[in-house]
Amino acid sequence: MINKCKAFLSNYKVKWFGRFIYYLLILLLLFFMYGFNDASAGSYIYNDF
Amino acid sequence: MTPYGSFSFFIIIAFLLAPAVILGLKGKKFHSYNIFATVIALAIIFSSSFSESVALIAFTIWQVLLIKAYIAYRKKANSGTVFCLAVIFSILPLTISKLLPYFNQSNWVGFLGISYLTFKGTQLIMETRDGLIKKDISIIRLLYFILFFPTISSGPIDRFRRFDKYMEAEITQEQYKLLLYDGINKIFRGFLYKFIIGYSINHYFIANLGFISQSSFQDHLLYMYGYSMYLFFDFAGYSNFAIGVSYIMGVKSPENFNSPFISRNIKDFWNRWHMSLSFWFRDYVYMRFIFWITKKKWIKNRNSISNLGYILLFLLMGVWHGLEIQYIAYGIYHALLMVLYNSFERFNKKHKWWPQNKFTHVIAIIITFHFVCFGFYIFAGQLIK
Repeated sequence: MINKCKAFLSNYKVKWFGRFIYYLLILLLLFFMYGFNDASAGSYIYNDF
Repeated sequence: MTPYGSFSFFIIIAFLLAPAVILGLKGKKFHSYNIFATVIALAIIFSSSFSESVALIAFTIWQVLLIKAYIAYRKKANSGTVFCLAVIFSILPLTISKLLPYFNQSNWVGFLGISYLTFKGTQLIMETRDGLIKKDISIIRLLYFILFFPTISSGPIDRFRRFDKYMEAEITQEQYKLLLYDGINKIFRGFLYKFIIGYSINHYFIANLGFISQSSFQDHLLYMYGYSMYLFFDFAGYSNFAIGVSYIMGVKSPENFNSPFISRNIKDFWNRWHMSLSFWFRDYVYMRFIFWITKKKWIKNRNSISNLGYILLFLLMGVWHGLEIQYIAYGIYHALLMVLYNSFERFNKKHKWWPQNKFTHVIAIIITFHFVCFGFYIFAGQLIK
């Protein structure tokens, strides 16, 4: 069973689809959070050092 | 313009690096184009502040002259005094920049990324002294290494010999394709960390702690964990952007984070958190100190030398963050943790008090996590200001 799962997850098409969904989700979340505005997530903490 | 601070920055970078991607995918050399892209990106980053632009140019000339002069000198002689002077001169602009605000002076020396550029310059002098850099470095290569724009504001701090290897290497189409995929993946992870998780922690959790917490103690406790997470996602997000853009430019910049919150102990933590900085301090402060003290034979006990090295390293790291009391306290706190862990490790080697199994491994992670979060609580200036 575990081997079957491993084989399924290492399939090229599954990997490609998984990554596509992952990127799409990030883009959708960014759109929901910021809309068409430029990001205002603040400066980086370590830029001060 | 703050690097990776807004979506417009990413759009500009996408246009700027498009020719590099096309060249890379066709298997052609693209470093000359990337040097041109670096000049344009630097102009965009520093265009908003004339004083910072002037400071950056002056700083770069200073460092290049110093490095070139020391490489030329090292071919003929190897005096310790000259080496010390070269290191002092190399860190002088950074020191002045850190001190000026405390004398109510405007910081005319400082600019975005001065610390990280100083680390690179000082590293070159130290490696020249060690005989690791023997041949003369061309001005273009030196400038490209110091001013490499993806990592200019907050690292990761690359090493010249590593960077030079990528300049010399001929990247095939297939190799570049993998680098490009990895780079894009890292940039998306950066968006997830900085713009989604980090932003949400800061705006929806930390900013509303007054409404969430029931007591002052709970408020401080929640702030400690919230700020620790925010700091990680903010800095790891930046690092992912910087490394991702470097990959697209054909340079594998070093990693800065490796799941730091699953560290087994404080030593392990510093091998996982802000790695390029902690390795820099390990190689150029701690190791040198140990070597120097051992050579002079002032202290014979190896454990004491090691503990003194940790104290020096973390005090310097604390002071580097700033002369504010919370940063110095943060340095002392981590120095103390390292010394205590060092002693515990020696004790445990003898007495086998803490067994090594899965259960103790999980317990060790939980304990380390809480100690680390308390460190960030100090760092945030919540314990002492």
